[in-house]
Amino acid sequence: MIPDVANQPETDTPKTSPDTDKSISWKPVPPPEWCRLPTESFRSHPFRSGIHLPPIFELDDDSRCSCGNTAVSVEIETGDLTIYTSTLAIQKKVETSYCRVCTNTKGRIGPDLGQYGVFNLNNTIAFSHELFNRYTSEFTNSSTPVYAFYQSIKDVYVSEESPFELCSVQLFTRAWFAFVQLQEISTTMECIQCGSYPSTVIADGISVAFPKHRIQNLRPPTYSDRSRALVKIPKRGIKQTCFLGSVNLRKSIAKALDQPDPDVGITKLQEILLVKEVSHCWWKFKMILNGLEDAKRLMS
Amino acid sequence: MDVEDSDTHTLCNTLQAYCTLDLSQNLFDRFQQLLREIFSSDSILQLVTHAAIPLLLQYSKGRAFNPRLEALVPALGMLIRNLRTQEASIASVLVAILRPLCGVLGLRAQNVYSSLVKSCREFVKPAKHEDEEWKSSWQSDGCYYGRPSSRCRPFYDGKDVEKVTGNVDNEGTCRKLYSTYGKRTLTGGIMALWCPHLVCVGWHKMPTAEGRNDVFSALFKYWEKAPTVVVYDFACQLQPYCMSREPDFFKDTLFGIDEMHAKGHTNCSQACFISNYMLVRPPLVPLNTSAAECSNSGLNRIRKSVSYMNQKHAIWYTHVYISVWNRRKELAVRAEGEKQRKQLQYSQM
Repeated sequence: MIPDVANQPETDTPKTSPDTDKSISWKPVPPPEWCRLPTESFRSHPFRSGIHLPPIFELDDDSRCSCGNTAVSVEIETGDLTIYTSTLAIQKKVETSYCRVCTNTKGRIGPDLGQYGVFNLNNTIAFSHELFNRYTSEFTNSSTPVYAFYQSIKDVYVSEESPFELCSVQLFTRAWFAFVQLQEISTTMECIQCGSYPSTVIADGISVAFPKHRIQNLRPPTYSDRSRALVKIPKRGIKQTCFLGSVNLRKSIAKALDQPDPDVGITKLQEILLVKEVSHCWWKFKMILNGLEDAKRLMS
Repeated sequence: MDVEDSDTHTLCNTLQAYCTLDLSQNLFDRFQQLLREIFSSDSILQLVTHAAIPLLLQYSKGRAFNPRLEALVPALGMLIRNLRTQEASIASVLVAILRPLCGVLGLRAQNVYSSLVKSCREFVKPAKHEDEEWKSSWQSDGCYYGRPSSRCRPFYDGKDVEKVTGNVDNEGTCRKLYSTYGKRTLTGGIMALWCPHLVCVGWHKMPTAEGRNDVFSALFKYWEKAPTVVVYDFACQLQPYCMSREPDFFKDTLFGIDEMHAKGHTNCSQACFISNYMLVRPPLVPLNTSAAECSNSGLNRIRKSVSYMNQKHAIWYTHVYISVWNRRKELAVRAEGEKQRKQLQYSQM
């Protein structure tokens, strides 16, 4: 059903150009069936090489432009839509309407196509969900860069004598990222056995990194703002929290204990103890002498 | 802070007993192990956690050895366990040595803990923390823990430097280098936190090289209550880092290094190694293999792809990978549960 917008007043929405990072498809996409959890009812239907696809995709209530505008104009055009699947490309017809919000004339309102298992990128190019889910499966099971997957699909197209070549790798990559942003693939990050806050945590840093010059606005948990929360701690080395404050004594005892030959270690320990005892006696003797001197001074 | 005169006497007596008593090889080794941990450069709170303090003090005052102490201070626990098989005369001499030693250990740990708590003074109290935008902000922040943060990370004046990065120079004695992880032209990678069943419970992208701050901040921000056990490559340095900033929050947390990462920690005592606790805490046994798997498999698969991506794509790619990983883990657990249920039903028929 096409909403009648012929007599609709112009919206106050500022005119924008179509967002190149967004697609015509906008409705949530179910997670791949092979990793759907039993608790999730939102599920996809098998694509079966697109045999159930209609010859023309009509505009409907869910149709919109990549800028988000849903107001369909009266002029409806029918154009070609190439759908890339994992074995070959299929061509179908699609109804589109001029988007009055986009300043760019290429901005057109089109159907979501999610119900057919198709991801509508720009009303001209579309991809089957199964193709993108297949890439997700590939790169999560083995180290498969986008280009490697793209090449293998391209090879399949040649074998299957696809009527159209696969789109460029750049377009494929852009479309995959636009697709996963719609897919409800996120989890609660909870273990069903440990719960929300596991009592045992393994922390591990992994060098899965991207180029530094491409950092835009990362905000890791290490971020702190002294105007929001400030704690003052006196500067002190952590050595002060060791068992023994005397570093030299502790080190010499530790060294003696670490001796590969226990007898050598014991001899060294006994030497340390002897020195300690002598110094302790000397210290006590000194205290007595000081006491005697104080007493003498008081008496005089 | 140094030990008291009477404490020095206790320590001298203990070392004297170690040198002179005619102990069996096994008992000698256990005694040596305990002394090594006591005289190591690690914090006393690594050896004696907050929960162990009252139990040690009770034992020093003549009370029976609390079995909980075995799990809390394994070196002491194993020594006491071995005493039970010894001759009564040797056992009584050692007990007479160990009781005052436990008292000294308990008091020292108590003093260190209370001085750490007292030293932290809150200057700007954080306002009621609300993190309502977490469901969308992670896409630009590169930080996904599946829930809003519980509190904000304060700036620790006197400890933190303005540019909050991994800082290995001014604290700790362990010299294992962070620089082995991450190349100069790339970001620091990701810090991922896992449960023992290898479900990723949170991750964030690190702009610079990995540091203790990453683990500390993630736990402090996203955990209501500190975990009981934290396994980390640099646990020997993480423990003092956390205790010097939030001693109350982390007081009952055991920080340990798994066997796979133990290489290079030549200067650290056994109290830092998770393997040390396995005999007395059986649930920790599977941790070593789990930790190894976290590092070696999984995320390495996307390393190459991510190294060519921009920030937004790197975040999404990692997010999809980890989400699928977690889903597969959950499905495997459910399938295993179902299999066991069927086997049980079959055996009851």
